[in-house]
Amino acid sequence: MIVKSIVVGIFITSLFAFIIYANGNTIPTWGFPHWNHDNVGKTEKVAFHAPSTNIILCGSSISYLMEPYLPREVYSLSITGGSPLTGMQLINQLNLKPKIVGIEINYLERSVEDTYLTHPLYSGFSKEIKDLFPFMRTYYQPINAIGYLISKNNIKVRDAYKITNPGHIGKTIENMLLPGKIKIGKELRDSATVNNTLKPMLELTRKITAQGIKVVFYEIPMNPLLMRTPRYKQLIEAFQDSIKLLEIPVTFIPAPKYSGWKTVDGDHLETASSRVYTEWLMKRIN
Amino acid sequence: MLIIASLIFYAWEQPYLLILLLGSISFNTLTTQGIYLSQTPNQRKLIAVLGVSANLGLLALFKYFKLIFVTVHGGLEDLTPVEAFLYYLPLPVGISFYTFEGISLLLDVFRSPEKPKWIPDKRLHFWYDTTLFVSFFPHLVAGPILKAHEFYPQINNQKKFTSIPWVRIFETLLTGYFLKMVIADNLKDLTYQISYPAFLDLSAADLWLRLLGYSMQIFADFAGYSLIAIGLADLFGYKLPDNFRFPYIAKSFSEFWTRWHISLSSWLKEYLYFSLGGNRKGKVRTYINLMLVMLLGGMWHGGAWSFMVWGGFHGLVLVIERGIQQVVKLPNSIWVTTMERLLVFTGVSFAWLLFVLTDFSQALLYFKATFTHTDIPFVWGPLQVQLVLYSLPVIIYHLLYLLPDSIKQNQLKMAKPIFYGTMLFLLLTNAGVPGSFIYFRF
Repeated sequence: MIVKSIVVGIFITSLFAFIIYANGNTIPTWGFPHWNHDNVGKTEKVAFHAPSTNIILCGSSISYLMEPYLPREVYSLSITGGSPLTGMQLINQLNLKPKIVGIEINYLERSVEDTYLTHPLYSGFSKEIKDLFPFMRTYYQPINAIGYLISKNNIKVRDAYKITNPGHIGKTIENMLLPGKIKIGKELRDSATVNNTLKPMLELTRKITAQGIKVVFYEIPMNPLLMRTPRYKQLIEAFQDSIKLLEIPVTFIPAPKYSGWKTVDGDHLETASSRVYTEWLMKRIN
Repeated sequence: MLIIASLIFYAWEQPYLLILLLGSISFNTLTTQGIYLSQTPNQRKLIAVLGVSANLGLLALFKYFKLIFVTVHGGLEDLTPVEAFLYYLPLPVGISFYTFEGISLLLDVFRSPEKPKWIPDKRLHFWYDTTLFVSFFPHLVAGPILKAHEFYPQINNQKKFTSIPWVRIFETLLTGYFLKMVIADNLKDLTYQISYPAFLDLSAADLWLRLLGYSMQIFADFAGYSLIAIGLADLFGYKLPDNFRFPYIAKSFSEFWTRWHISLSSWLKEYLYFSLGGNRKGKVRTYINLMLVMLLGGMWHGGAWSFMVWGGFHGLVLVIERGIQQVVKLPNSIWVTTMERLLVFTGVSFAWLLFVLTDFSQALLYFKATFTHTDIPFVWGPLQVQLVLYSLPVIIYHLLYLLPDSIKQNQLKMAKPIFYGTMLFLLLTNAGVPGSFIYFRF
């Protein structure tokens, strides 16, 4: 029984590997069903098919919502539920050389825990194994493909944000302002935030700029209630103080002052606002 | 060797926790010796009561101090240094499991009129055996919960390489890893919106779908872990008790508890329900006993009122069910049986909400939303399709069990290599992003 099962397993795996190989190990067209797969798949794509775009954006889920409106010459390394540091680390590790790297600064308090690329715990198997056996890469997962074939209309995670009940937005923002979420009034400058995120961010910025790459920091508009919290203001001040210490030229594009931005939950821009902001940012980032 | 390996395994992340584990083992060894060496029944009883109380006290200190303190104190302002120390004590990994195993040892020996044969004469030998019983690595952090009288007799049995049941181990481990890595780890990223306030934006159909997904996820996660533990123990020549027996096919809540987390429910039955008198002391007393056992079973899961409510819910439905069964006899048709299964599954699934949304008001809000969010449009996108796809293997796993024995013994047996071969393939190509086991936090 054991031998028969292993033979069947090897047979199905070989067939699957052959189909992938016959298609030239290209990136499949099917989407990722959830954010965690999307994150791993996105980092894999960069690792195995290095983007040749001029601009790479590093951000969190709020940058992720810009993806449908990004021009072709821009590659997004936005990690949902994560930090821009992951994207910056990847650029550094993989020695990518775009002309410009854009870095979102809205969620600076999120530190990077580990890279999605080299830590096998994040993606099942290490990069070396996935190098050797391409069919083991996350973006080829067969159940994703079946799901895509069944559902046809390839709605990605970001579309979940479109379907929202406006009556709940106020409640969501209220919840985000609770202590423990955006920590109002908590002293920031000496807290772990600076050590966990700002310091590694500055180090990575130094390394990236040393390659002759231009670095542009950008702030995405959020609900004014969130942007006015003492914690957020302190965060931005700490960030601005830090980039002065860099003594290298970097650009900072603050969120445009405009009262018409609409968010679905306080910090994620609604579809229309996201498109307007993306187009606005792209004109300035170049 | 197995003891050293198990202790290293336990100490790997937080070595200082080893002190507590070894302290608990030594205490239970000495107390057990005290019980069987006692000269009088009263002395014996006193030592047993002290031993059980000390175990429960240790569990309460780490698990329920925060809850009791916040409830009594009302907040975290003006903590004294001692209060702050006690409040911020981390929960030691596996404490719920090893304290229950310690109690099992004490009560097994207490209930035996003389020293059980499985207890070695030499004191140091007994300490070694107890250390292995409690710390044996496959079950240490998340069970199955062992009973002393089932495990000790296995320790000194001769173990031969030639008697390792390879086929059974292959099937157990492969199913366990498949359930955890392919099903539970993928479902966890599809059910993450069962969190406040994320679920407020979901349609009623979506909320039902995610609830189904979570029911499948928690089964795959815990049953997967249990199978891995059982398979690994089998490799070393030890037979651990089954922890799951197709729980979602249960036709009643009482049947569910003979199929879900069996090692906990049988522990509670053997050491608590029977001690309280079981069903031998009249109807009312039986109902009270059921409620008490289920409330304590709920509390075992953690220091939050939501777990108590969860246990209370199960206790209440067991009482109601018992009452109804004594008055109404339902016909034994396939439709009635199917309706019973669906009813139990739905009830159990809604109760799982209290595991995810530990704030009771949020769980209630989710429950209400499953009926009221009909105005929010439902989109049949890949995420929803994936939820169904990843839930399917667990559903099929349960349905196959319902097939007639003749099919199970012939056609299904022949199809086994296809099932296991496919699982092997999916393990290599479709594992999810790893997450910790749900029951690790208990």
